[in-house]
Amino acid sequence: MIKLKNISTKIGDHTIHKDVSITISKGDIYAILGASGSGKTMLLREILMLVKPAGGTIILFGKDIKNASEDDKDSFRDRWGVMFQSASLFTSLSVGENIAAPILERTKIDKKLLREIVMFKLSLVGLQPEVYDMYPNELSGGMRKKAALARALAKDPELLLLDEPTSGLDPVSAEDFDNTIKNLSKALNLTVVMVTHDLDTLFYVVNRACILKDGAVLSEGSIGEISKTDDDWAKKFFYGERGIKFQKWKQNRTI
Amino acid sequence: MHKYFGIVSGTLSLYGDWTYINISDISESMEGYTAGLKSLDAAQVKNIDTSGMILIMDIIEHLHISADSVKLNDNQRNLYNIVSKHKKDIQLKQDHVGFIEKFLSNVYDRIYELYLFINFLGLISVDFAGVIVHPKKRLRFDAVVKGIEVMGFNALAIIGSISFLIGAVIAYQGSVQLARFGANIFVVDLLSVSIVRELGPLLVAIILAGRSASAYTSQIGIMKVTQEIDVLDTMGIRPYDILVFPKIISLVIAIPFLIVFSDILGLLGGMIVSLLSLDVSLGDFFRRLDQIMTLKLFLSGIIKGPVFAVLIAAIGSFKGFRTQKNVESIGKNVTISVVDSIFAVIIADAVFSILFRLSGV
Repeated sequence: MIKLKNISTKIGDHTIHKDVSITISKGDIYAILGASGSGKTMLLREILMLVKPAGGTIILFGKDIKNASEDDKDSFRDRWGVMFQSASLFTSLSVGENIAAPILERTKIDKKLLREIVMFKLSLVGLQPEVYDMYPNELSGGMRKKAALARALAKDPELLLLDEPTSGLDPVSAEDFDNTIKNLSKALNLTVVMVTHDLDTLFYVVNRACILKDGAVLSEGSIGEISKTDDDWAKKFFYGERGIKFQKWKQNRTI
Repeated sequence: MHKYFGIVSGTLSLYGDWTYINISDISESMEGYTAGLKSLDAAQVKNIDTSGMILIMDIIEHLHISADSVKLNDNQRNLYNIVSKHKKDIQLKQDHVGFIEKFLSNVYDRIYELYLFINFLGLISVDFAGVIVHPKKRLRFDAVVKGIEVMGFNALAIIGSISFLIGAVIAYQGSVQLARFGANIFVVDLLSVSIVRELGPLLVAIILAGRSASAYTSQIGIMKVTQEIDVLDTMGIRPYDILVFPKIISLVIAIPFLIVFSDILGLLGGMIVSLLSLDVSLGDFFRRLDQIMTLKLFLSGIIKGPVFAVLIAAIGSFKGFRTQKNVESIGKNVTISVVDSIFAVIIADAVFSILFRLSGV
């Protein structure tokens, strides 16, 4: 579904990616891992066509974006839902209007039905109906995140791109979120690409991942495969204090 | 037969794409098909999303079709379960605000805003006493100097060119009338009284309202949205010390100089027009100017400056602090701050006119 080949990125003289190649297939729940500053979000922005890479090829939905016409690009944008790290809701619109905005941009829907659709999305991400008429500045950080997810899901996209979706959520909401993603991906045949540090999400939801370091891909594959990566950062990530604690706890839980 | 559905012996069978993009088409064409449908078959539907499923469930409910006689494939059943778990009945609430109600509530808002502004003026006046008592600790000297440069010095070009043109225009308009009476030399009276007493200070104030009040409002407004003002507060720095007092002080210092500059350029513009179209020689112009340009006349213009400056800086800052935490509110408050500060300046100017008249200046 998404294929990145030999991507390189530079900001000024600063090299962010030297040679990044990853493949995300339909139905994957894919995580991009890496230390802070390793260019994960930048990679996401390149997939989203917000930033042009200095070199390399990005193939979206089977088409090279270099050869894609504006119409093609618009159709890509209709087929994905995006949620940024800081939620980025439109602050001058209520939550309901935020979620309805991408739909109304494409089609006209009867008020009552539209409200039903928006209410459903709200409930889907675990928000109360009262939130509908509230404004983003009246919401807590976690609620804003959920509302942003609801907005990303508005057009029932086949591809969902999430930047640190569970950061700032309480553990219960994060688990709800994980379940939502898992169920939706099954029911709607959703492909999910996310940048995450959340070990819960990683072990419970994600089925494939890659690790970025020093502008290149250290390893790519299932969680089992990449946890064997021979690298300091990866070892610390999976087998450091937090990783070990988590794996132990997870073993106990499955038993 | 229809693109999205067909009816065969009491069964509503659906096909095509039941996705959000088609929903309005579908629900429009569905209208009127209500009677005598016992079951629904969605297994032929090519693509369906949650919005389509919501519509199907609405139809099921509307037609009173029992759950057993709804035929879905496995994928749709999955989707059905998800949607039914979260779907709620919606009652649309009607909130209609009448014209008079809206008008009155706007009037009330504006009056309340004035009350809050007077409150704000009182607050900064009291707080300013603290700055005077502890100038070393609380007066941001660098910010004041920077303010004089940005809001005063950098405004010279625009103030100069506008004053020059206004001076020229006044002399030119006056020349037609004065020439009829052969009273050419009185163009100097016209220029010096109108520019030095009224137009110079007013032009400077209006340009500062446009340049500075808007900048103050957006700066403070954005700082409020990004919670930077809260950060200052928690650091033990009084937000007014950084954001309000330097603005007021720098504008109060800069404005008399700007008015003098505007007076000079205005007279210069008038002088050139007088020379060219009224044949008033430079010598005559200066001799007449020397006779009527009293210290009183000069100061009556300058003395308004600091009052205008305080109004502009205070309204600009006040509107910034009144910003709500959304983007639209910043734009709205910037607009209002410019409009209000120009309005306040003109009211203050009118008050000055009355005072000067009463005191016989």
